[in-house]
Amino acid sequence: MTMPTSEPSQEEATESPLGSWIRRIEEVLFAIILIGMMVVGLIPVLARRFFPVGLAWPDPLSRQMVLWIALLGAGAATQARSHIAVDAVTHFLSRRARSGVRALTHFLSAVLSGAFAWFSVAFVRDMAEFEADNIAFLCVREWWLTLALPIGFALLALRLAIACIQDVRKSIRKTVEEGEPA
Amino acid sequence: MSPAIMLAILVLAVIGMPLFAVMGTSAVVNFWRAEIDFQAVIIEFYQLASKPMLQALPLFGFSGCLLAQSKAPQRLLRLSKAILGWLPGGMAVVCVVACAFLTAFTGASGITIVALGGLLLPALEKDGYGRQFSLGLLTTSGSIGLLFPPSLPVILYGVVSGVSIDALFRAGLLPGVLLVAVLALYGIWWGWRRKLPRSQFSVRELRGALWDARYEIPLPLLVLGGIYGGWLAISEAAVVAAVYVLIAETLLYRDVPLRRLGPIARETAILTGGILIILGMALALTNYMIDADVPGQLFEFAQGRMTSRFAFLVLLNLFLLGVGCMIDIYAATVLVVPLILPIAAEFGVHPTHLGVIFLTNLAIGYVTPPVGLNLFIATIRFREPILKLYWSALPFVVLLLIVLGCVTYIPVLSLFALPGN
Repeated sequence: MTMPTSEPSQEEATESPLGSWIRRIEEVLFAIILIGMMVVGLIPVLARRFFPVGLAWPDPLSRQMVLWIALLGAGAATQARSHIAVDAVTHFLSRRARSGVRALTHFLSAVLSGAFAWFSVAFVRDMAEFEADNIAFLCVREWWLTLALPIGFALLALRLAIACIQDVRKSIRKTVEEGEPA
Repeated sequence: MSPAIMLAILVLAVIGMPLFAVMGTSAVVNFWRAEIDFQAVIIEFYQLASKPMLQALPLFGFSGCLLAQSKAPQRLLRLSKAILGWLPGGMAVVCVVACAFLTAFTGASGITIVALGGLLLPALEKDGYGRQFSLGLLTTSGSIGLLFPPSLPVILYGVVSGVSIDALFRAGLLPGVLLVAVLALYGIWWGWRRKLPRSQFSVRELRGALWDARYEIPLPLLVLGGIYGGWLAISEAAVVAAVYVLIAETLLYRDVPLRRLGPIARETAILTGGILIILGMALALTNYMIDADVPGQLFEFAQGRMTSRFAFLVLLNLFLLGVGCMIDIYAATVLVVPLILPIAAEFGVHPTHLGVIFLTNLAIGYVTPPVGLNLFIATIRFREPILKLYWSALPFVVLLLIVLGCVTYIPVLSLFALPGN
C-alpha cells in the first residue's frame, strides 16, 4: 500500500520545471480553499452568537469546496504517487517490470477519469438545460457548481496520463541503466 | 457481475491500480450491464458536495498536518513525560499516551510514527527498554488513538453509515481507553520487572512543560469540550480547531513560517483528496449494490452458515482483521460498512457498537503481520527488516486482540455511554 504522507523534498528533487510550477500553483490554490473553508465555516459559528438568525449559504458553499479538494487533491496525489491502493504484488517485481505495471494501471485510470469527465459534460448540459434557474445559494445557480466535475475529472485524467508517460519512460530508461556498469 | 469481469477487476486492484479507479471501473461496468445511463454514476458521485459533515475531513486533516510539521510533537512529549515519567515503565507509558493523542488528531495514517518515532525510539532505548520492545511499542502505539475525537476514521464511519458521529465518539471512549491502558500496563510491567530508571517527578519541570505547551493545551479542551459538551457540531469543531491551530503554530509559536502553509495545504489535499475521491466512487458503487440487493444476498448466505449473533461476531472479527491489514482504513470503511451494516442489524448488533468493533478491528489490522500498513511505515522509518518488526509487534498485537474481544462481545462497554442507556 502507498503511504499517504508524501515526502515533499523527494518529490521536489525529481520534478521538471513545469512540474514545479504546477506544484506551486496547487500549493497556493489548496491554501486558498482551506483558508476559505475556515472563514466560511467561522461565519455561522460567530453569527449564531451575536444574531438569532441562521445563515443558509455558508454550509453549501463549504461543501462545494470539499468537492474541489476531492478532485484536485486526487490529481495532486497522482503526482505525489500517494493514491490509496492495495498493491500486493509490485513489491516483488523488478524495478523495470514495476514501472511497466504502473504505466498500465495509470493508463487505465486515465481512461476511466476521462470517461467520467465525458459523462460529467452530459450531466452539466442537462442541468443547464432543465434546471437552469435553480439557485444553490445567494445568486449562484446550481448548474454553475456542477462545472467542478468535468474540469476536475479532465485535470485528473491529464495528471494520470502524465504519470503513465513517466512510467513508460522510466521502464525504458531503467533497461539502459541496468545494462550499464554500476 | 460475471466472474470473469470480477476477476479482471480484482487483478487490477492487486497490481496496484488506485482504489478509486478500481471502484469507478466496477461502478461503470455495473451500470453498463444494468443498462442505466452513465450520468447516474456522476449524479451519485456529486453527492460528495451535499453530504453533511464532510468538511470536517479536510479541516481536521489540515490541523493534523500542521501540528505534525510544527514542534507540537516535542512539546506533547515533554508534557507527557513531566506528568507520567515518574511511573515504573514511565517512558513506555509516555510513548503510548503521546502517540494516542497525536493519532487522534492526525488520523491513523502513519503520521504518528513518522512524527514521534524519531524522538521516542532513542528515548526508549536510552532508558533501557531494548530495541525489540521499543520497536513493537512504537509501531503498535501508532494506531491506538483512533477512537478518540477528532479522529478522521470515526467521522468517515459516521458519514458512511449514517450513525451519529457524537454517539460514535461517546461509545468509543471506554474501548479507546482500554486499548491505551493495556499497552501502558504492559509497559509498566516491563519497566518494573527490569527495574528500569524512572525520572523524578518535578513540579518545576511540569510547570515548564505546561508553559511550553500553553497555546496547545486549550486545543483538546476546545475539541473534546465542543464535541462531548454538544455545543459545536463536528464540522464546526473542525473549523474552530483548524483556525486555532493555524493561529497557534504560525502566529503565537511561530514554528511554521507562513510560506510553509502552501506545502502543508497541499499535503492535506493529497491526504484527504485521496480519501474523498474513493468515497465519491463508493457512493456510486454501493448505491448500485444496494439496488441489486447485495447485502440481502450476503445476509442469506451468512444466515445459512451462522446460527447466532456470537458466530456472526467471530466471523466479523476475523473478516475485518483480514480487511484491515490488506486495505487502508478509509477505503475499508467506504467499501465494507454499507455491506455489513444491514447484516449486523439482522443479527441485532447496534450500529454504533458495530462502528466501535469495526474501527478497533481495523486499528489492529494496521499492525497485524504480515501486511499491516504501520509495519511497513515502521520499517522505512526505523530502517529495520520487516521480519524483526513482526516479532516485535506480536506481543502487543496479542494484547490488543484481547481488548478487541472484550469490546466485541461485551457491547455494554461501548453502549453504556449513549443517551438512553
